[in-house]
Amino acid sequence: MSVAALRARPSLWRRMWKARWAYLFIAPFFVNFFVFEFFPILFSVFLSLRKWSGFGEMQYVGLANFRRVLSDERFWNAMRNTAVLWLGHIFIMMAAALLLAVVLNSKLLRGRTIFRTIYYLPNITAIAVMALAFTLIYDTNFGILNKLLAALHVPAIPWLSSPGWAKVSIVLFNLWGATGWFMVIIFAGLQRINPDLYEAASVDGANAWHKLRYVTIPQLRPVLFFIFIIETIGSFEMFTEPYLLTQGGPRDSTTTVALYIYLHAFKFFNMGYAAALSLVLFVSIAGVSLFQARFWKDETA
Amino acid sequence: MQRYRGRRHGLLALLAAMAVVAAACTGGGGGANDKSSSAPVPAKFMFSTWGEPGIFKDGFNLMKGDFPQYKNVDFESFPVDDDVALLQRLMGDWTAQSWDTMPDVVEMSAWAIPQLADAGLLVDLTDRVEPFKDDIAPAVLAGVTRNGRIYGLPWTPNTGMVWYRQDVFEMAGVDPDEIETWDDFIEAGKIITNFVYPDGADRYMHSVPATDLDLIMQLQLMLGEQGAGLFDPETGEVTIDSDPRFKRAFETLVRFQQEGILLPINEWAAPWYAALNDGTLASYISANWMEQIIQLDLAESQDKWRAMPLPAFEPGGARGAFEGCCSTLVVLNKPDVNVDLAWAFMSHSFLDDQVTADLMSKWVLTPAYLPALEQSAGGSSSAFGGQDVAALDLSIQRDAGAFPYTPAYNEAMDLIMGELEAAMDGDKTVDQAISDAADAIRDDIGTSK
Repeated sequence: MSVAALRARPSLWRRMWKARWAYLFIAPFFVNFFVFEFFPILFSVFLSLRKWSGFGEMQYVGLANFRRVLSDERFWNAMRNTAVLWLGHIFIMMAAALLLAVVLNSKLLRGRTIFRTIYYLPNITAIAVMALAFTLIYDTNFGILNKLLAALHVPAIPWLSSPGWAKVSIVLFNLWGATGWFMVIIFAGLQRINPDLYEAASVDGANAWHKLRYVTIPQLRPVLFFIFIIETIGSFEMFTEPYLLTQGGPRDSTTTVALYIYLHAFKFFNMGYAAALSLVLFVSIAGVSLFQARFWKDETA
Repeated sequence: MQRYRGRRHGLLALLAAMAVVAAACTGGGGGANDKSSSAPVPAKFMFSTWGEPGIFKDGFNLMKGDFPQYKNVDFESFPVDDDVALLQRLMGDWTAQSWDTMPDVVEMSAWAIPQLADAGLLVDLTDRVEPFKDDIAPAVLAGVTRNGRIYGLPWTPNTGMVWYRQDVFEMAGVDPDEIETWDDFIEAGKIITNFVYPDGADRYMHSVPATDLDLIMQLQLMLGEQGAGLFDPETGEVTIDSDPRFKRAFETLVRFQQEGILLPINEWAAPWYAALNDGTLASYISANWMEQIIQLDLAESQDKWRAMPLPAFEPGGARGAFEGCCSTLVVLNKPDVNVDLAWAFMSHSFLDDQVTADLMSKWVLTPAYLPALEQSAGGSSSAFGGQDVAALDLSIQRDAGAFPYTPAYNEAMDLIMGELEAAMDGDKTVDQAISDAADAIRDDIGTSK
């Protein structure tokens, strides 16, 4: 652009003033974003370089908090637990949600709306209420689950008091609570599949399994990718389920990274260390999400 | 060039604004600690507790009757779930300097006093409490003292006791008067758990949470009766791997598990109350506040329960300790807090022979103010088979030991519980578990005093 042309352009301020109504309409989002999301992230970075209990003075400690993260066995245990809980439920959940959505999409099934509502109900129930109910269901001595097992002459299972079974209990709780929502998303995706594809498959002699494998799943790839990413991010942020069901026990076997961060921030009042942990979690989630996006992109290419 | 410069200026302005906000948000702090009585009388007195606010509201209203200058002040209570939730709330209010939402007085456990006092959140009450020093158990007062200054008014002490089911003990042939030591307690527990009861039910001597191990209360009691803590009071160094008293307490808890006298059940849930009511739990090591739980929540079985002092570690040894010292009232050091009003409420309710005795009796609680407790002692109620629990409490308090809190108490106990669980599961020896706990505390916390 020539100097004359540059000089002829209105200034930044004049251009902003001209588009002021547009800026005004988008301002609430940006104010909210900067105050409640961007600033807290910056403050976390600031805090991660300090030692602070939430009260009193802050003490600058440089990278000491991050060095501590590297050698913190409980943190790495929490990472392992988070990964195990993620892997333990994501594929089962996606398969279950897909199966339910496909079945509920079938025109042969009567009362589909009722079934869809029933399967979606856990998603709109307060998680604290569900957790309280599941705590009673899972109780080793008095829970209904072990009473049912006793009736079948199966020994009682320590659902919440054994490190291994506690993880299973959380996975089952997660599956029960989240499958409905993903079923609804997949169901919406199924409506967008061109019925001609199924007709063509039928003409080629495909049975129900072939249609699912070669038509439905490929067509749902973007939806499945979305669910996978969202649920992965959600799994890495898993807090409510272990907090309400097991408080991270027994023996830290269900302490997730998010719960561990909470413990340091709001039980031990190590705000600086908690900030460092949360930044490490952020980098981990970003890394995993990028890897997944690349993987799905390569698969589609 | 102009556009680039404009964008750069905009970015600089944005970062500057954020820096200002960050600086504002890292500020905190109320007024100086030498509060004068010239602060205006507020329209509202703001109070927070994680327990039942009724007793405090009653106390405040009684105070207004004798202090006409406060007759127009309203009592407003903000509930919180527990002490940790209270601290989270205070942290938010303190950091944001939100004095309008910050309570004037809060009721809390004593463990957080070191942290809050060091940060300047609490008003120094030393001069006001001083005249009453001899009427509060020394260990209780020690729990609200930090660096020689008193920051809280204990209103109910958590006197350690063992509550037991007289009927179950009789059935199994256990004589509670023969339980003098923790070894005796474990032996009695073995009898209780091995006995074949007419109804065929299993019974246990104590409970342990089924999911997240929490025997902090019991560990504190055992350490408190020996006068032991987790850190050296002078140097702040962790002492658990060099103090035989800690090993004794730790080992005793591990033996509870090894001898099979513990019922794995989450406390404060319906099945736990049922186990107490039907005698599945034949005893429970806790504190005097269990009296209120039994009378209000276990009314069906209240006449079957009795209380006894904590067992000692050796015959003739100390049998007194406090669990978490006490519940205490603290005045928050915010600007314009009217300390005279706060103290009028606190002292009128909890440092008066008659008012305190009546209030605490109504709410089935034990006063920390010993003259008021002496008023309650000597009577008996229909609960507990007529046992004079107040007299028992009084006899324990004067000589009971204190557990010393430090700012890192919470985190240290969490690390210890993890190793205790490993030892109870048989995955580590007691020595290995204590050593690992000490190393973890040194690595994660360092010193604490």
